[in-house]
Amino acid sequence: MFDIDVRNITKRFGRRKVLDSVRLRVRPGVTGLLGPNGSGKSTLIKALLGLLRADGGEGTVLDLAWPSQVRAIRESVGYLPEDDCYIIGLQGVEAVQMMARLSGLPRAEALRRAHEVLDYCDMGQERYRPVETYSTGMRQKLKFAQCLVHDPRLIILDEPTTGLDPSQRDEFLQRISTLAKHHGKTILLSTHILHDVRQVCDDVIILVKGRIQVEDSLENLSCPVESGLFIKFLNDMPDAASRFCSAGLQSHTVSSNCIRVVGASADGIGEIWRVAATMGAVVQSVEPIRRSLEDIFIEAVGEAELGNT
Amino acid sequence: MAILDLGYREWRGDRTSRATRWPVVASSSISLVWRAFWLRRLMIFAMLPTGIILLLFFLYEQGLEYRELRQPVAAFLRGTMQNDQLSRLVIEDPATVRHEVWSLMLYWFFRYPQGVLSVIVVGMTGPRLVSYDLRSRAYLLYLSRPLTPLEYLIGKMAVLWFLLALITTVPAMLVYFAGLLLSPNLNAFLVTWDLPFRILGVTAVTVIPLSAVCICYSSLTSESRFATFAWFATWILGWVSYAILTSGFLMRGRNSRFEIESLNRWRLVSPYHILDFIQSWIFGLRNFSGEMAVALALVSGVTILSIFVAHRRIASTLRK
Repeated sequence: MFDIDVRNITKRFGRRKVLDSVRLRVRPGVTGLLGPNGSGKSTLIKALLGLLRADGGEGTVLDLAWPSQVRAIRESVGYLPEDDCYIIGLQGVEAVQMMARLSGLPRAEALRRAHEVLDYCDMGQERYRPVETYSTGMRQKLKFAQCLVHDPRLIILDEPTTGLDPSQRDEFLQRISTLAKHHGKTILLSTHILHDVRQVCDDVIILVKGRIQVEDSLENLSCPVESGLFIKFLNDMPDAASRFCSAGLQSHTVSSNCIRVVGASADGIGEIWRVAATMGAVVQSVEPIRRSLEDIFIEAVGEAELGNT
Repeated sequence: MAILDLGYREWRGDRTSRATRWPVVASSSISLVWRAFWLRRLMIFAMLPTGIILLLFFLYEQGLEYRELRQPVAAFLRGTMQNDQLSRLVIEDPATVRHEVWSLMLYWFFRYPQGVLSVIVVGMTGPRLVSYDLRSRAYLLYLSRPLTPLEYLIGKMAVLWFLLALITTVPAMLVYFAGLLLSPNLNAFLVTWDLPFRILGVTAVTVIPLSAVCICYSSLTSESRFATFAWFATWILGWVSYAILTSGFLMRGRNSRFEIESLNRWRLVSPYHILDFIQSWIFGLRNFSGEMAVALALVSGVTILSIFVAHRRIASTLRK
């Protein structure tokens, strides 16, 4: 059911508790791991990979016992580190081939597979250049290719879209989505960028101060929190809220062309059409009121702060 | 828009054994350092002393048949190796001292030309092996694979083992087998069959400590020039200290046997002299003694400590 199911992960650096009895469950699909700076995301990932020795915790990763079988776990995990890391002097294709060989692919097969994955990551002839001459975006692509080259079941991406321009970011997210949906990969995406999470993630985990504050599917988190509708007009309608109020619908102005009608639901849509028609307004969209991911994130961080005080 | 785009393809195949992962680190690093033009030049230069030792083997073996060829070998043993007795025997009856002469010539090869060249080759290539990875944080890429920090270090040390084997073990073995081929009778093999094993033993006691200490220095800094400086400083200061500590005795002129032997304890301050001391024992030129035990313990201790420090350093960098 869960590809990652670990509990009570604890890690201290000196007297500072970086991870505090974390329970992490990740199912197939894309899971976003969110958290402010210093919340312990990278430490959690490194602990999962056995790069850091956790002070406590147990569980399974890809049905292998964690932490006793971390080496076997690493065989089936692709990891894209947050850090700008590369092997000085190697060409791009050599760097990918080397990672494939370290994961157990035979030499010739590793080279063939390296080219295949670099093609998938949209790396052209620049694959023959020394990696230290690459731009940030190219290095991110290279790290992604290194992460995929051994065809891992579980992919852990730590800030993968950092340094990418908007079109590269969209392509990158598209690849992540394809890998999860069409190739059955489990992807743990650690990021600050909420837009990325909204675009590709099925589940969201918010980690604050070494504790998991939120763990749910994005769909559940986005459920309407109160009955009401956002009405967006095609043109600016500054007096729309007052006109709706005079018609008996409690409304508030959100922007010059958008109002929030409190208590309304899809059943009462006829009344909304009627008022809009009397105003001569063209309705562009009607949406139920939902909490944004930004709101959820800020709320989770706020709750953690409150809990600490 | 591509006409045909295969997209992502899954990979199914047999993986290699986990025991073969550190050689991947080694082979990749070897191919990387080998790209340096100066290193290839240096390695060719380091092969040149092989010609000298090969010539000595040739003269010795042919000297068994042609008496006039014995003189250069005898001069080498008397002059360079300061062994008058063996020099005299080479003139009188060379066949009886084949093992001693071959051992001494191979010892000379390891001690003088290749000893110095080994220090230079390791000093020019070793310091960058780990420090470059620290600078570019490449260790994260290595260690996120099924590879332990110790295997990573062994892979890096294996680069130095390869280079040192190329300039010491391989030429010494070639010279040995060339000596067998040059020998006028088959008896040579029966007398000297142990020498290849002694060559391997000397290689091990030279290469393992050298690579461990150099990798340790390299792991302590992300600036390889500091590690290079520390490496050469270790050898030069050791040598100079030994020279200063022993010069007082030697300048008094004729020393008693006791005084000469008492100098031996100062070799512990010089890595070069301590390795020379152990090499001479492995080639059978010196008997095992208490001092030898101390020397072996010291070299083993330094090697283990170096690997321990390098391991700790790599493991600690993952916390950052």
